Amino acid sequence: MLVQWLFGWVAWEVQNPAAGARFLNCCARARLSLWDLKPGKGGKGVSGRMRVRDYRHIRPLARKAGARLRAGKRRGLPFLWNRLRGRPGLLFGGAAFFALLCAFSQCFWTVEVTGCRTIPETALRAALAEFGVAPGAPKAAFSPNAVQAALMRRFPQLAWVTVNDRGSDADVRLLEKDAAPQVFDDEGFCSLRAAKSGTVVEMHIWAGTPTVKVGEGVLSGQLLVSSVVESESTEEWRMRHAAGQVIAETTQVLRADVPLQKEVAVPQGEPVKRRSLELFGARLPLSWRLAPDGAYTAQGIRTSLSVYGRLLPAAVLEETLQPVSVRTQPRTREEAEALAREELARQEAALGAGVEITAREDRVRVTDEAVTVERTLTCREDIAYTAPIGWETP
Amino acid sequence: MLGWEAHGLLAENGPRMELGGRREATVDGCGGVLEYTETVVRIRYGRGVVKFSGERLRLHSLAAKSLILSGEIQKIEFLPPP
Repeated sequence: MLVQWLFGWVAWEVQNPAAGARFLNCCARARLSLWDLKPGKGGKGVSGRMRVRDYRHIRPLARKAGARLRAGKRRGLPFLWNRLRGRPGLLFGGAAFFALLCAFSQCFWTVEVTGCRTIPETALRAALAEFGVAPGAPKAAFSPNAVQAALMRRFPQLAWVTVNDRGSDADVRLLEKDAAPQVFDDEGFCSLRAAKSGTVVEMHIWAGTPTVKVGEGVLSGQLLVSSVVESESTEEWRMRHAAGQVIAETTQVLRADVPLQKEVAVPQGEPVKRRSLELFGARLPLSWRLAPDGAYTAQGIRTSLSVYGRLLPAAVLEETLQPVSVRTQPRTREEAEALAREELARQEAALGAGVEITAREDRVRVTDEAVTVERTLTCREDIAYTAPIGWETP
Repeated sequence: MLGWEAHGLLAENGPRMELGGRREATVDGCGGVLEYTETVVRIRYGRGVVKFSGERLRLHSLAAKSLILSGEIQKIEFLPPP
């Protein structure tokens, strides 16, 4: 059908009865190709189609066969060409469309990334863009193996990564490594030392010889449980992997400074709203409004364009630029103190679940510039850490 | 004495007919269409005539020495020349 359309075809009909078969035979002998032949209405006569080039030759054949011939529909590229020849705009548009289609098919339109867990997708996309895989990047220089190898080198936490070229889309799939479980050395000779200074309030020793007692003060790095164990019965010395918990009362000081002045951005004047089109990573302004002079705040909405669920390398950006004047405003002491206590609460939460806070004492200091809150915490926590015995052990 | 290859060559040069079930017939070496209606198609075939009878018969394509006939073919008769 495509070939017939390219050459152009004419529908014809032999109207008088009984001449149909004769006409068909004349055409066949003249080696004219006929198709879609149908018996005419009333059981006689015939209709069909033939190439437009052959139609010029069938008038003599029809006369010879005694057939009354009538031409019908004409379709195909030659007729379309004749219609469009007088409309250069359409021709130019069609040519431009094909040129753009060819040009755009040589670029990546979208990059899909699947499998990011701890690696930020933005960092991965930035690396991909650096290696030539980004919307608008030409595909000619694309080498999947080179990109994969470069990604593996850039992100050591990758277990594997594959970059596939699916038409105009780059499909990046990756799997991150699982962290190897920590191996505890239960066999080697280790002692327990103090991670912090404090007063020992509780001891649970499972292996080793304690060197401190409940109620004693210890300094950071001090030996708490020795790995050397003396047998009472045989008076022999043996080395062990010391294990246990040494709960101590420790003191920690947290501090938060809050200035008594704050900078506030006050909106001034009408906001500037402008639009731009992001195409293959390049931004084309759709409005002529310039950014306001001086300081301003910017807010924007990015709407990605998609067709049938497939993202296109185009997006519309709508941004609102609000001119502001930055002013310094005073902050009351109470306000500053409340902010400082909020900051201290965040610092306390960061200490972790293993630290039990038994007492707090706040000391507030006010100067002309800031409010400082110092919080002294009394905590109960396990201060023992395992220290292998070696030449580097203090 | 002719070998098998020469025998096959002679057969190819003569008229041939190929049926695709009851729906389609391809005829090579036909000598022309004698009658063409929706129920009867008669064609010259070698030195005789072949008559196809059926319903909704249609000539799909017609060339110098071949044609393709489709439709519901119910009967094929080989008749003496007219």
